[in-house]
Amino acid sequence: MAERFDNAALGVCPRLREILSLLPRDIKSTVNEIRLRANAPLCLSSKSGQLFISNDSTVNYIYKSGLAIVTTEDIERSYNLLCGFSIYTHENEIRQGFVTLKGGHRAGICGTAIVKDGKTVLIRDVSSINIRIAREIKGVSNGLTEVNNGLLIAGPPLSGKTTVLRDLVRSISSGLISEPRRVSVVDCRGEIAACIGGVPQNDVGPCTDVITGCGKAEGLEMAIRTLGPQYIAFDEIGTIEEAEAVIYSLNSGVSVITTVHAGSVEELYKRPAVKAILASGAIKKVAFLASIGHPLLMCDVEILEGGNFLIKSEKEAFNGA
Amino acid sequence: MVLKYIGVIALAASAVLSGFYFSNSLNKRVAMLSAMLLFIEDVSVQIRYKQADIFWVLKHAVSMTFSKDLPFKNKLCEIDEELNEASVNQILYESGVTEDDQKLICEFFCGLGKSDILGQLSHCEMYAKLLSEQVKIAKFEADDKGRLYRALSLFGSAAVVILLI
Repeated sequence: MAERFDNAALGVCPRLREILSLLPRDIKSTVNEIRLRANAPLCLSSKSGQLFISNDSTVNYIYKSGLAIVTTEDIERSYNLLCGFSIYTHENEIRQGFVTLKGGHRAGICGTAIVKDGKTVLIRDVSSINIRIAREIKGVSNGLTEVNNGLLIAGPPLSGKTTVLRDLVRSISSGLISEPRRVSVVDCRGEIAACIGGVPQNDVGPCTDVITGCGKAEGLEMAIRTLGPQYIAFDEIGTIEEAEAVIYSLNSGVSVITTVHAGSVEELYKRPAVKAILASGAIKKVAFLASIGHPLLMCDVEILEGGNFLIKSEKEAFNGA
Repeated sequence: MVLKYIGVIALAASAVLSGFYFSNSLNKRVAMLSAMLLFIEDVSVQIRYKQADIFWVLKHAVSMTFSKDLPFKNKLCEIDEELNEASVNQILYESGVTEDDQKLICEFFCGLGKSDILGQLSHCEMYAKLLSEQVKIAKFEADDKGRLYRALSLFGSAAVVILLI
């Protein structure tokens, strides 16, 4: 994991990178995020909370003097470095507030949005950067084998839904579940495959095609029409348009695997797009994830009359009417 | 006597050559600026259609035949860091580019990769316009001054020969 940290730190300007490179390996391996804020101390997010870094690379758990302060120049240099000195090549990503780095890491960009026709076209005066270190945990989806009739991976934020989805894609594509299958990944935010120059930075298996840069609904349609997938995977279902595209995939004989932010069945029911998908029968299994390493709670979706459905776990059933 | 003739011939030849050298340097400037204009056009096209990173775009433009007249093309290929005033001036150092041209070219390179596609295209367009003005001036100077340098050198060398012989 320390190597992943060093790899992600390549997106930080040389002055701060030098400070980060001298951190102890055990600290590096627990860090989730590197946070740069203009005129604020260099900060890392880890399992044990926020860590402030001193100029001599010592780690502090409290805010005090002598910390390495990130200047606006550091932010600007890091921003240019993250974009490979070619901001225009990351235009679409920056519009959504992030830049994908080599290695699958993602840098969140915060600053002043330049808006045109009601849409963000670019971000100027970057004030903070949050580099999220990509975690590729192979084998994390080992318990998931019943994916033929579609699967919805539900869980609260930072529970590892994308990590499970990525590993599941790799397993299906590599033939670890049954024989190798064709998988299309619609990776709008570059979190699953994290393609750089058309090359996936994460292992998504040998039979996986990755569509990036377009909207999810558009990407789903494109994949079904042109790539002939047996499985389609994408992250974070949200809109009704995406739900309609998923329902369309049902008629095309494609199994859909996706994720959703929902900590419980009740939260799941509050999402119209999820309700529409489950009621249509496009996805017949829901896996609830508490956090990485915890066992998944597998539920079956039973379609009832009148467009209703029932989510049944081994222990209880939740009515989705 | 032989030495005198040799000296006169050498003097006349150097006068002619220096005139032609100055005239040629004006023509070289025209060729360089015209190549730079095509270079900017290619950069603009590659940014618009390839959207590749700026180093690839620069390498592509350098590989085109029109870039043969750019004296700094080899150094441009080697760059892999931020294009700022210091790094660009390092590229243009001792390339024989005039101070005014160097300033303009430096500003152009420094602005590359710093904005979105529309911004980059506008940047290229603006510097193409500014450079085409420079090309016009350079062509005029090459025609006008070039002829003058050549004529002066020929007449000067003839005068030297007549006076000394």
